[in-house]
Amino acid sequence: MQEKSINIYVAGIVLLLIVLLQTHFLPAFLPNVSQFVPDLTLLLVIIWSLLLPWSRSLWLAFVSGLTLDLFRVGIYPFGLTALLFSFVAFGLSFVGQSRYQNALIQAVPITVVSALAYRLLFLLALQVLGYNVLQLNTILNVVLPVTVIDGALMILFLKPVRALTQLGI
Amino acid sequence: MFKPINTAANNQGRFLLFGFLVALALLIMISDQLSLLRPAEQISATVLSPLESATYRLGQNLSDASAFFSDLKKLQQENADLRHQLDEAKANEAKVADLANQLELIKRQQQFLSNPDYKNFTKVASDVINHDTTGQNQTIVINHGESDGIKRGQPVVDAAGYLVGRVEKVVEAHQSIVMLMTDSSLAVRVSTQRYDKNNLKVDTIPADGSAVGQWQTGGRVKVMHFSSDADVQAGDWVFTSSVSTTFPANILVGKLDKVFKDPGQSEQQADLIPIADLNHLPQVWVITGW
Repeated sequence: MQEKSINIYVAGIVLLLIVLLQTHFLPAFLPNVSQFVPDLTLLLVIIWSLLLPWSRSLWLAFVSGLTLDLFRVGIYPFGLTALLFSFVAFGLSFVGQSRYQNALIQAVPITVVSALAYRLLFLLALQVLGYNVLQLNTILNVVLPVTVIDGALMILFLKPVRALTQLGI
Repeated sequence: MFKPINTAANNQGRFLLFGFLVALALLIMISDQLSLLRPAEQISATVLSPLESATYRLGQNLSDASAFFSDLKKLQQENADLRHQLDEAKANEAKVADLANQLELIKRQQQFLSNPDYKNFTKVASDVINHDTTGQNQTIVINHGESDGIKRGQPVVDAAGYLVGRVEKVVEAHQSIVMLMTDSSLAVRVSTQRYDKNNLKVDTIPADGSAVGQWQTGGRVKVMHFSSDADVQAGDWVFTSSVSTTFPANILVGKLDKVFKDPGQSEQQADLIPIADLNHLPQVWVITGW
């Protein structure tokens, strides 16, 4: 089977647009519910991890995390998202590439589990850094709803992102 | 059905690459904590800032536009109601008295702003250039930083002098992050004051408590640790306490909404409605000295 490829320029543009959408457009567009803004970049990382070999998806996850860190000014250290995305991509690399890998029936539950793990790790990291965010109420009221939103968005995201990132092969 | 990719060599390479990326990420994080990346961050902030600002403004404008169109019908109805009320107010002495009360409230706010203590504050006016982009905290980003005398821990108030939060991190020369008082990581020592329906101060013993953000748990702000016999009730005004070492005294924080006790607890608690409109903060003051 021929190894799946990716047009790195198109992927870069898609990444940039998604990061801007997530970090600046959506928080300004939905100021009252900014805590429920989905992590679109994470969805991108998950899709790439499902589509591409680990030798590429791991790098893409790392670069995506760095790009996200670059655009979102946060109270945590630069590089934290790159670290967490690397964990997500690494974990997903063991899922294996089946012929059903692109199917929503597989992608949606994988997204839910990955998003949940990522957000819990994120909260844990913030807690370790001294911020009081790792609370049961936070997990129930914010993390779980956003995880469901992430899973639902995967239904819309998978095909267009796959088509865009493979454009020009 | 599954492509056999988990060979030993394949796995070894995968673990090696993952280990390398983790080490690289940790190295970057440590460098950032030691401020070694500051020059690079400043250059990238300068380059990316116009793009970020444009995207943020686009989102804000679209949000305003969509709110406008969705509320148009409601606004038209409200407008008609207001016109009707205005006509009534002109004819009705009671309405005039109500307006007089409102005027008194504005006077009290004016008195607060002309408070000699407040006049002694040294402060920096900053524009809000972004909200929290992680969804995990209640923060805003302002356009002043290290070069403007901004330091971590400094109190932040809105344009009218109502408490907003405090500086959590000075990112660079002209950018800082402010943690809003609704974030659960922020606690403020506060005390209450009561005013009657004529907005005159009622002689009561102020009750001391701690205002703690509840945004992460779906709420706004809760005031905790009121003693069991403290005289507190819904409608009491809440100010920063004179015993606070991190905030100047007598900054208006908000108004108590509901006073209650948790089962088995003797201490009283209360929900607090912040006075500052934390969702719409175009500009804030950072109090750099008091």
